[in-house]
Amino acid sequence: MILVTGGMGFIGLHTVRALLDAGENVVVSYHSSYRVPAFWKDEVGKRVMIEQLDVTSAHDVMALAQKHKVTGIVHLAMPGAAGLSPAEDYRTSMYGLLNVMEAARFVNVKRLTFASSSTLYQGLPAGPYVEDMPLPIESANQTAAFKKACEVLLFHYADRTGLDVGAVRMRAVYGPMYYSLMNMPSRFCHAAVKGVEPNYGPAGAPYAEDTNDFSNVHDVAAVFQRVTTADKLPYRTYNVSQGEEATFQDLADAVKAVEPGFTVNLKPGQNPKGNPPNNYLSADRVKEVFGYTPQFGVVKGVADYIGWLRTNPL
Amino acid sequence: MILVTGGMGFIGMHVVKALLDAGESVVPTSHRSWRVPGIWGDVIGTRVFPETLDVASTHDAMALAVKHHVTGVVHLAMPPIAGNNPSAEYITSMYGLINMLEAARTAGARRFVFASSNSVYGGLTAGPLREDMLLPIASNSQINAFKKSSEVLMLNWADRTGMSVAAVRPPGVFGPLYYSLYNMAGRFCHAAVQGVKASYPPSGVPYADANADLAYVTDVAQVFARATLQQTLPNRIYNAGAGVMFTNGQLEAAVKRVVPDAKVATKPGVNPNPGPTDFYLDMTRVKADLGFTPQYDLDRGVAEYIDWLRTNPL
Repeated sequence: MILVTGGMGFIGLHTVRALLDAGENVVVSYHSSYRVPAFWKDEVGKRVMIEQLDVTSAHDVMALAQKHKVTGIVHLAMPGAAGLSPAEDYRTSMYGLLNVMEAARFVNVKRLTFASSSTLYQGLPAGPYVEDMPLPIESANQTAAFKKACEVLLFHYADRTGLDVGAVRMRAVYGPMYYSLMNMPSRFCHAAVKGVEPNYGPAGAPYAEDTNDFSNVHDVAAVFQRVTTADKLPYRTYNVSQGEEATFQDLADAVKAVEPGFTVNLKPGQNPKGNPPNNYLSADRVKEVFGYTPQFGVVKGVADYIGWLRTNPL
Repeated sequence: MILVTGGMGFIGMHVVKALLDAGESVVPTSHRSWRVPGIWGDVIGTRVFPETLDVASTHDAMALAVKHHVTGVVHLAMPPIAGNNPSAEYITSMYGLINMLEAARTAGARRFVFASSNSVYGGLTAGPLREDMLLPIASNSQINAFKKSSEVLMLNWADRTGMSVAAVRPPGVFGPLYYSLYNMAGRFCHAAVQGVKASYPPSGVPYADANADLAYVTDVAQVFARATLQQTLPNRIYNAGAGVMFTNGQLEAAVKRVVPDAKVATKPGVNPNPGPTDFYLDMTRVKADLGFTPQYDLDRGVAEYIDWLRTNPL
């Protein structure tokens, strides 16, 4: 029985599905947003148990892990990207981590997998970003800071206690059930299906030749499942990515291939402020350890997402 | 009024003294080890207001900072190096940090200074150690893990709240009031004054050529005081070392210059596990930003420390 905290968040929903497909039963915990997706609603009460949980409550985390005889934990719960004070973000992230680590040890789980982020590579001058790279002490944003601090403390806790841990670093994840629309693939796909020009967000339209490493949620969930259920983990950190750059022009072309009427106005060329060379996460380690290569490049991933958006409410 | 948590620890007592010398009044807090050293002078109740505080208590930290109208906080309190379990250390370190940050902000303090450590450089293969170096996510000690994650979180918290903060990274420190004797300088000077054979760490008599940056405590306290009181700080991280490498052989010689028959020894030969090269703290930034150069070389530090030990209880 695997506990997935934040199991009703975008990535959590898909991680639950991937764990079910691998034969695991799952306890899904949520705090404030409750949603049961079509792709596992039939398992609720059978192979999926749902619990409300505030990860900052040490007692509740402990009791829940004990009640369900949890054998593994995927810790995805985190504060929403906006809205809490710096102190409350800190409390949710840092108290939550300790409570989950202690609960994991208390019920003797086989593994604790922590959802980290590629934002902790921000500030490095160039990619490809490799898991063992040393990192800046300064952080570009709160996600980078909390994920970096949590990884440091998670690995130290594992050194001290022997708890088996893994961290998954993901980037620019898009796909079905993504509604917060913080990244360009989702803004493009949603706009294309609605037949409008994308809302590009505060920074405006991206530059056509700028690059990113867009990760499809199906690939991300597959890596979470493997890191969590593998017998032995030779490393503690795993990138999940395409392992190559795509330009925003590539992204726009992928959308137009499925929605030919899609209107998008990219800025020409590259951002004069600089797009880091080789702006992608190395996918070598995931391939080496799990034999896994990303299944959803931009063309296939965008087609899959738009196909889902056409038959599901926007 | 400057609040100094851990103000009755070894470095804390000297930081309090340096702040008094700069004309400030001080609230030193202590959790368990209550010591009022002679170096403060006869100022208790007039310029020094000691308090008991568990930094892990949100309410107590907040109330204390407000009660004393603190204008600055130096946060030195940390769990003892040995004897706690990982979760107790996590609570003291990580809950303590956010409690003191929020207490400083609520009380309207102008500056928050965090006592970090040169341990954060652990895992790098060569120095000189500069404040802006990239650091490994893995930690080779608990001090490394807690100090590194605390710096990351403090810097991001400061980005969001606008609080002026600094982290000070001292190396091994020796001088008056040092009784825990983790480093060789403390062991050698105590043994010399007592006329007994030096106690050696579990690894035994040290190699003469083994080296490290070793700072005298009043130099370290000066960096803390200046980082706390200087109106504006161009940077947020400051080393506080001697800025050079000292060998155990040099330490032995310095002790014997003061106490010729001291029973302290080093062994010749090459350490089969040599440390990283040039692993000393680059003091360029401290000189440029704080106008301070370390005042103590090994000879002066050892002579003053031994002189102090002769007239103070061992």
